[in-house]
Amino acid sequence: MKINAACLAALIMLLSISLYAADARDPKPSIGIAWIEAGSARAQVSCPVIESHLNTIITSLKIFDVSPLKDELKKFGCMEERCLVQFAQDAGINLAVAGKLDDQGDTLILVLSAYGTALPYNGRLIYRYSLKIDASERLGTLNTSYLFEEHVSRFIIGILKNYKHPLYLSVDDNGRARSNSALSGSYDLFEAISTKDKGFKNFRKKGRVTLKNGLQVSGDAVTRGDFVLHSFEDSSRRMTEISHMRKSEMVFQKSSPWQVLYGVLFTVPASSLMPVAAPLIYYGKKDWQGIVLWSVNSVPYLYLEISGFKNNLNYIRKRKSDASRSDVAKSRYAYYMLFTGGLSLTVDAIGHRDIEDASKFKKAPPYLGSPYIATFFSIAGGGAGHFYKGDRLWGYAFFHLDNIMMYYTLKEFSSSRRYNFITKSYVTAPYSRKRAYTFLGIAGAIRIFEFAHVLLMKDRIESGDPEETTFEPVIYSDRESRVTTGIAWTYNF
Amino acid sequence: MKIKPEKLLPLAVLFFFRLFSVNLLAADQPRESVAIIPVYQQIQEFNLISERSCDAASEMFMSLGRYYPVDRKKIAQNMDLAKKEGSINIKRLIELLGVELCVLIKCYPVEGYFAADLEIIPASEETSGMRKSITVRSRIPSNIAYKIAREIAYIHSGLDVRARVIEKSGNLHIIDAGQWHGLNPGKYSTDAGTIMITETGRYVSLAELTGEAASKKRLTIHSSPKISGAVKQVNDQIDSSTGLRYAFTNIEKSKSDDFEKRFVESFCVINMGANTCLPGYGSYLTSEYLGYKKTDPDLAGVFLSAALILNHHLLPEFITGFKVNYFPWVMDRDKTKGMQNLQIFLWSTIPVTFSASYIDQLASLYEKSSQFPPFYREKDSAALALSVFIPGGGLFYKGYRIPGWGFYFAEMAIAGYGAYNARNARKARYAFPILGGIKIIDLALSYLLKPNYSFYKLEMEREAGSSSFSFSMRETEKGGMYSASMNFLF
Repeated sequence: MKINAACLAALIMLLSISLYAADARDPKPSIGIAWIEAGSARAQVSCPVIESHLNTIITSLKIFDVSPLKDELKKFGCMEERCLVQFAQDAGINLAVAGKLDDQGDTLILVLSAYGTALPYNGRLIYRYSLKIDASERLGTLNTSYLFEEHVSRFIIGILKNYKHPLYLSVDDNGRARSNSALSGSYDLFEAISTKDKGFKNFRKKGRVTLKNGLQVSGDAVTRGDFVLHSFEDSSRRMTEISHMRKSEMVFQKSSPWQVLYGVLFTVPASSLMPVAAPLIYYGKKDWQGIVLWSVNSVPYLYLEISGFKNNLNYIRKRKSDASRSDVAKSRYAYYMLFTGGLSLTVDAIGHRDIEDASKFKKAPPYLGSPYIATFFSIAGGGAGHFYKGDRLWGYAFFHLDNIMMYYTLKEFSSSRRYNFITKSYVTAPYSRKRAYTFLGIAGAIRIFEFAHVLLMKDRIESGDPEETTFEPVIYSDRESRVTTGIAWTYNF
Repeated sequence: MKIKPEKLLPLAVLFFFRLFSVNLLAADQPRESVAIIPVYQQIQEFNLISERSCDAASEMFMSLGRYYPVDRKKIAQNMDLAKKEGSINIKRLIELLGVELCVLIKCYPVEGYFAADLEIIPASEETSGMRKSITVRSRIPSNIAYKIAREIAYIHSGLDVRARVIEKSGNLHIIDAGQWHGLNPGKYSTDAGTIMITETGRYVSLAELTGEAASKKRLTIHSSPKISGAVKQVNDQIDSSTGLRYAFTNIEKSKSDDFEKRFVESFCVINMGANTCLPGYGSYLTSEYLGYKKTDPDLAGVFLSAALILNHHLLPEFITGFKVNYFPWVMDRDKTKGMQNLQIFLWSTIPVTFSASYIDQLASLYEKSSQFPPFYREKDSAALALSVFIPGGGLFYKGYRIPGWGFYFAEMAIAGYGAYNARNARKARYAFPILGGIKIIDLALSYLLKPNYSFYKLEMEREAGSSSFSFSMRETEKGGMYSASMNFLF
């Protein structure tokens, strides 16, 4: 095909502009939102919602320059990964985002991918967020939109955590390097190496520089075109906090310290009724996992409680029989289980299903979401604070730890009693105080750790378990051009 | 939001590139090397399945990163050029597209099933060993696509990366294989020695080539795609769609639609009462509570359960020649402490046998009615939970009736022996650890085994040509009828 001279000149001019744009001196990275492909008619309804959330959230962050690319890509029939990466490279867009929503009957599968087009990624996939969404129950349009908003937020958090943006340095007349962005801190310095292949940009580590408000204060000599990699991990952390706070505000009611009073009033009845109430509540709420876990985990402690009451100290005294240390400990442990020990499992029975519903943006009952109640429960019952926040794994871990330690501590403080038929009284054997206080110390330390852990952990209101795949670039050449290899590949599931 | 004016310039550049067919960045792009072509039939429904299968195959090729699929539009454009006397000349089409592999997918009906032929035609010397022809079948249209994708995954087994050197600069070379092909920075073994990949792009990499590798234009990098993850993903998809198609909720609906609650109620309440009144047969009657109507009981299961319940009541009597008192709480001169323990054990585990009997009847009904049990979405956890409470329970739940009874007998017999010898430390010493060991195996198998229902196995099978054997036993007006059949598709 013949190309006339004017057209060729225009082409070369435009090409040079586009290649300049690809070097992106702007401190703000640019992100192109391509498409969310629908795998079915039902998924097609949700795709615009996801695209809209992507646009809105990324724009509101003010970290990226946002370019919706969908219409442009459609015009060129560029609706595949290979073309998207090339298009974004040509257009000087640092990050390209695309996704797919597939339908598998009662499950929707959302996959969101981010490609880094410029240095140091060369078109690589840098982050993929994949999630199965339970679509077996109807959530309503608003809640579905909230759900997608949450996952889009988590995807963006993942991008911010993994993406490193090249910030090019210029050199002033005094030979000092300067960045357009007010960077402060110590950074690795890289230099780009030109290759004939226009698409592939090679680079190597050149040294290290320290910048203050974008000006070099120390470090290796910088030449024009050298760059540092700027991370957005702080923004990622902030966004994680904000997302969680926002969801908490949406699903939980305002809490007040007075709620602890409800917790106090609730503790004894909840604990004493646990053996009957917990399975019935699990059944009523159709929490089948809960009922199975309850029946397996509670058996040893219920056995201790029942045998403690059946063979209690009063009964032993009436029979005038001897009491071993275990008998005494069981008898005391039975009262612990009656008054506070059983609280944890009743809390799990009542709260877990509601926390699950809250994760799907259904309004939680007023008794959930209070940090004050959670803190009180972590003191009152083993694992109760964790169960209250919806974490069964930690809840059962502390439930077992606390109960085992409580029983053995009580046993260490218990003395065997022998009935003396001559004096008609009991003779109590001594116990090792040192050993007993050691046990008490360990039990106390576990409780303190549990208390602190409950204070620090968040309510388990995230919906779904995403599979996150990240590909971190940690491969550079050193000063002597010796290759330093390494890649961090993280796969969370 | 509107695109910014400065962003339009590169778009215009791209437009010019496309307009004048100048592809300056072609080196960065993977070569289109596989054409996936649906073979159309007269029935539209099957054409749709063929097209969906082509999409699934294309996605699988993309995810395993060896052959880049040709765009469907490009295939359609070349179809007309490849037509010869009204039909398409595949050889000509392959030449026109310049691909290394051609995949033909044809979907058609076979009595009661959807079937699809997958034909892989190699078109280059390097792919000559990949010729394959396979037929898959399913009762669920979407599973045809998944099965085709799974076969595509299997053909990737052991496929190395073939890369061309596209630029040289001293020891550093740019090769046309990158992250998409599964390459990461690091050392790789090739047909020309070891190379070091120092940096990867999506489709290209920077490699340090020394020795023989430095002089070569093409390299075979020994790195196979990880097909196990892809196959597992497809199997999960088949499992999910099969679960939906054969879900327990599809049975005749009774008063409540809450099947899971009814299942638990039938298990814990109805079955206990029914079996107390009619040992063994009560389990079958309970199934009606779940919504099963006009079904036949599994008589072998009914008789076995009835015999076992009788055994619970009368075993100590048989052992002692009907000398001991029938009630466990009554101690008499002929009843040793061990015998009383055994009696207590047998009486207290009657509900366990009721439950085993019920879940065995259900396993038979699930198979007959082609329905999965309730809690199918969490089938492994449900089977595990059942095995915790009922010996062999998880195996019954997954359709393994004979192994289920095997574990039931083993666990109950050892537990009974342990109870009988509870006061004899020497004898009891081995019973409980052995019981624990068997229970662990029971739990592990319940969790790990795939369901054994014939309709499930048909959906999970790989090749339709493989044969299957089935055996059934049912009551007819003329008495018991046994049938055995061997099925194979040809």
